[in-house]
Amino acid sequence: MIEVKKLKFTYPGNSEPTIRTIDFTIPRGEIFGFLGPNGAGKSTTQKILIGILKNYEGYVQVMRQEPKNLHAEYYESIGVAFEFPNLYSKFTALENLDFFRKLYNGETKEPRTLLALVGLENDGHTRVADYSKGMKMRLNFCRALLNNPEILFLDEPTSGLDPVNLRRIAGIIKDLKSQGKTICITTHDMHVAESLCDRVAFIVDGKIVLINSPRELKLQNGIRTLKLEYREDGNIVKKDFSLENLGENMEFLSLLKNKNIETMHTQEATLEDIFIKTTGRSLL
Amino acid sequence: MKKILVLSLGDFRNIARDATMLLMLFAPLAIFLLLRFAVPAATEFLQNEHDFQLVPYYAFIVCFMSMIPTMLFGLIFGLLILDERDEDIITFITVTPLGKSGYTAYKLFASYVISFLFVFVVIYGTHLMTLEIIYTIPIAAAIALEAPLCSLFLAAFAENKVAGLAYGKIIGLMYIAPFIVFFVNSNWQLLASPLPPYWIAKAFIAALGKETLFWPYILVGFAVHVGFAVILLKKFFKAHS
Repeated sequence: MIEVKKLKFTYPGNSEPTIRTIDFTIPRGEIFGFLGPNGAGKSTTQKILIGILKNYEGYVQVMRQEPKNLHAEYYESIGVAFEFPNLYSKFTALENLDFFRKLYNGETKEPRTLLALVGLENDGHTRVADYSKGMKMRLNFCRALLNNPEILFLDEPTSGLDPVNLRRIAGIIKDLKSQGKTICITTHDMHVAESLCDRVAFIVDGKIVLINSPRELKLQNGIRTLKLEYREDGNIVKKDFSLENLGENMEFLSLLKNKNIETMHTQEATLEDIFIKTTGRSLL
Repeated sequence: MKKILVLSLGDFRNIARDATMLLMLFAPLAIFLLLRFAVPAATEFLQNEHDFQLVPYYAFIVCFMSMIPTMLFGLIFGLLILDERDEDIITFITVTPLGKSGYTAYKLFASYVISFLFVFVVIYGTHLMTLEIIYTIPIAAAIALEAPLCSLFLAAFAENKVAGLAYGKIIGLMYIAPFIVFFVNSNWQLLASPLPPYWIAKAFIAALGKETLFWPYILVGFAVHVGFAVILLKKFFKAHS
């Protein structure tokens, strides 16, 4: 669906490139995440894929089209939600969706259905100027779905969302994946990347330093032990067990049978740990 | 056509919900009413009370006042662009099938068409003077070019809508040119020739006298307007690339 080889990009007037030779492919139906700190080049890469930045070097194909030479039809098939909601503040939510849907030639989704999808069904007639940041983010997100796109580009889609709405948006993104849509997310929120993405690319200083599935990364970089806590004579007792042949470990089996276990965790690494270990940088 | 209608309705909604732009939209109507009713009344009053003839100044009044609504329409569309830039709407439109070029073309076209039609309203609807249609069409076509020029000037130079209103006043200075053409009877008036309205005022006077000089004036007028438009368009696209 998306193929990128030896991509380089330098903003006009800058001496240093923002993107320094990156390669990746995203197959159809995958949720792919760009994970990195602010200014790493995540949004720039996305802007190249959606045809906003054209003065790049390298080979880029999105749905077999070169973003440098895109035609209007390309935009019938992609949906974009930018990091900062860019909506008409003087319009209501419904007026916004109604306006933007008419810019497409193909079939579009009913604005009220989309508002209901993101929990804004009772706020359709409220002007966007009176929306909270989270409401604007949800409206911004559902606008990207208006044209039923094949590829969705979401820049920090969960920024400013409360936990309930974060779960709601994550659920919609997973549903879209199950419908065969390809979703490209940029985020510096490792929990979003971990829970949503099939694969993530760590991007730092315009370079991809690692690409893999969050699960693989967590397993590869974790410690193969299980940490267990139980209470004995009023005291908390902690024990570590190797995962190797754990089912045959008599001490472990005995504790499971005879003690009141309070917590039990495997020690796989978090994406943030891996990111810091790989890049020497934090995500924020 | 469907998209033009959608964009026009969107613009109208934006104007209707903005006090400054709404006021500016009513100004051309006020100008028309002033010319249609207040000027004849003032003419009669000045003649009876002060023995002053206003009629010889009708050509200047109509020429000048046919340009002002164009400037206002241009400013309104310029402010709409600035509003949409402030809210980063243009970036989103770039990733729709309309695209940035479609968006820009619509904005400039819309301001041009409205201005073109309103020149006819001022020249023929006010009944202050007569001008043959063969002259009015090219004059209206040239005057209307000032609307996209004003819009582009704001879009290219103003950082935001507040600055846009200040830049609007700078644009207003350009309309000193008709005064110079009508009231300065020497070659000094050529100093105003880089200003686009200069050539329209010259063409207007030539049209009233049915002079053959009308066509060179109007052609130079077109060239000056288009030249400015190309420069501003380049600056606008550079600012938004």
